[in-house]
Amino acid sequence: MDPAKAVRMTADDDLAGWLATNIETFSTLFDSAGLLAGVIEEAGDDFRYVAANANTAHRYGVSPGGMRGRTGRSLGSPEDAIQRTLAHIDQCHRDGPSQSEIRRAVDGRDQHYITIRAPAAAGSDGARREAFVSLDVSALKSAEVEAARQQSLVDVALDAAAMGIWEYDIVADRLSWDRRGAALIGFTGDPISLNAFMSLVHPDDVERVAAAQDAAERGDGGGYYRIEHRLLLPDGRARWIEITGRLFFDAEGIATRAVGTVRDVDEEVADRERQAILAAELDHRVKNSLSLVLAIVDQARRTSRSPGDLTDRIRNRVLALSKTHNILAARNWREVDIRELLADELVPYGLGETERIQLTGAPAPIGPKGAVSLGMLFHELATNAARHGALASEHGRLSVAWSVASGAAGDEIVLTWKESGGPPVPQQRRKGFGTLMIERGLMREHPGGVRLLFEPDGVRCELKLALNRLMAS
Amino acid sequence: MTDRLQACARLAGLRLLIAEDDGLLGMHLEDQLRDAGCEVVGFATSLKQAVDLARSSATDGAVLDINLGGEMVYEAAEALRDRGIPFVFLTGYEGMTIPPSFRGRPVVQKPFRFDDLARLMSAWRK
Repeated sequence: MDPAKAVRMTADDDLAGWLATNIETFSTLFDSAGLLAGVIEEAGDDFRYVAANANTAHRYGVSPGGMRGRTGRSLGSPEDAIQRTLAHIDQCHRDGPSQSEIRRAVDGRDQHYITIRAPAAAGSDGARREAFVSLDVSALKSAEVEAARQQSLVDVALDAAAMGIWEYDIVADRLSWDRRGAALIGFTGDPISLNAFMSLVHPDDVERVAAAQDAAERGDGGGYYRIEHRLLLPDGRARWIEITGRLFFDAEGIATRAVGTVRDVDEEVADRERQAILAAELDHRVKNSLSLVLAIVDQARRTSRSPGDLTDRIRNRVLALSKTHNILAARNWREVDIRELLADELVPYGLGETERIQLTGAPAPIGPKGAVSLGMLFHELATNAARHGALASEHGRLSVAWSVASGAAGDEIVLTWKESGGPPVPQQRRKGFGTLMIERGLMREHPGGVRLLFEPDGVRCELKLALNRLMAS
Repeated sequence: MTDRLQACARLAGLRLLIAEDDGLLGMHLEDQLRDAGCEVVGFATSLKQAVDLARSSATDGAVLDINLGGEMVYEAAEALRDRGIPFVFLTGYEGMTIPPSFRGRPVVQKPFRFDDLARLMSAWRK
């Protein structure tokens, strides 16, 4: 506002005279508008009130109408305030009417005033006068400050949440986005039509999104809207976003406007999918384990000679299964290194402490299913070695060496388990539970891939297993 | 007579094909079927073996684990269906989606009671 235009008064208008005469009449008007109004004049090195409304008197703790003749000092104004006021009188006589915003601390609280000053005709003694009207804008000002603070709070919070804001004028079909929202949907900041937005939605999600929008406009969800869907980005990638919104309806219940947020939920959706896959895999693994336990119990029953035998066999195999599960769980049910499976079975027999057990080979990944089956094989071999083979005597040695080589059906793990130096291996022997499990179970599972040889100086087991089969689910 | 004995009586003499990629589970199933008096005429641990056996073996029915080392057994199931040979699917996956063409075919979730499998198979006797 241009103060010179806003206040069309000059010294000639004798505003002071007018105010002095009429201030009592208009005091109620000024007071109820929350205005301070008055006329002051120079009084030597002080200023003096010629007239003032009740509000102004109240500010100084003076009774209404008691302001006439009161000087700055008698009202308790500080010295610097008196000097400022005199400077204002001087200035408005030199430069004409002015508007200024001043801040002063009252009782420790900031008070803001907008003050309009105009020069007024001199009094009878020739003292220069100034008429003023002052509006207390403290409440407005603090609301403004609070609004700015809220805005910055919202900004920071949205930034922290990586959220954008959108607004849709349904009547005008104008969808606009804030900076973050526009960046998320990969669009410039200009408003777009809903159709233009829908052209960015992943084709597989368009129907679902349109249905959700229609439902929201009908008022389903009580005026609230929330959906997760994909966008098809210009580079051909898909991005999951979450859109939430609040709809506004006119008196006829027609949706006219919607406002809400947009958020990138790509990571969250990917996490959820990973969780779901992991949960399904776990479910599968648990059922598989229970099936294996049933098979173990049945096989132990068929080959055991006493209840104690039966219990031992079941317990040892279930524990072996459980060890493999521990390794798999630590690897999030993805893949394990073949060395871990071997180490798990052989550490109890002194692997790492003695020279008699040697593991040689580069890391080779095994999937969960292959790990369970190899874990059981190694358990049977180790158990047999500890009962009848190389690990049953202190002179026996065990060497396990493996490598990955390309074979007919892709990469293969070639592994040799060779015992030596143990008790002589009888050529005619009753096949135990472990041997049966290897021959009937694992050999059939990997046709031609498992050979178990009872060589005179020690057991030899040769594996030649397709890596892709060991990695299969 | 117990359920198990009844089931065995119903299954005696039935010729069967097994497709199961897990050695130990396959061995267990084979033992149970033999105990019930069945004759296991073929045992597949891979899809290729399963398809070959499904096309050629003289069998009265088949027990098919759906996932054979990462490959789905459906091609073998088609071959059996074309020959009019009944089969039951085994699966260790909850809520596994089976192709529409096999909807209505019996599916048994692992782990299972042998008697439940036997009850299904007893209808295969000619």
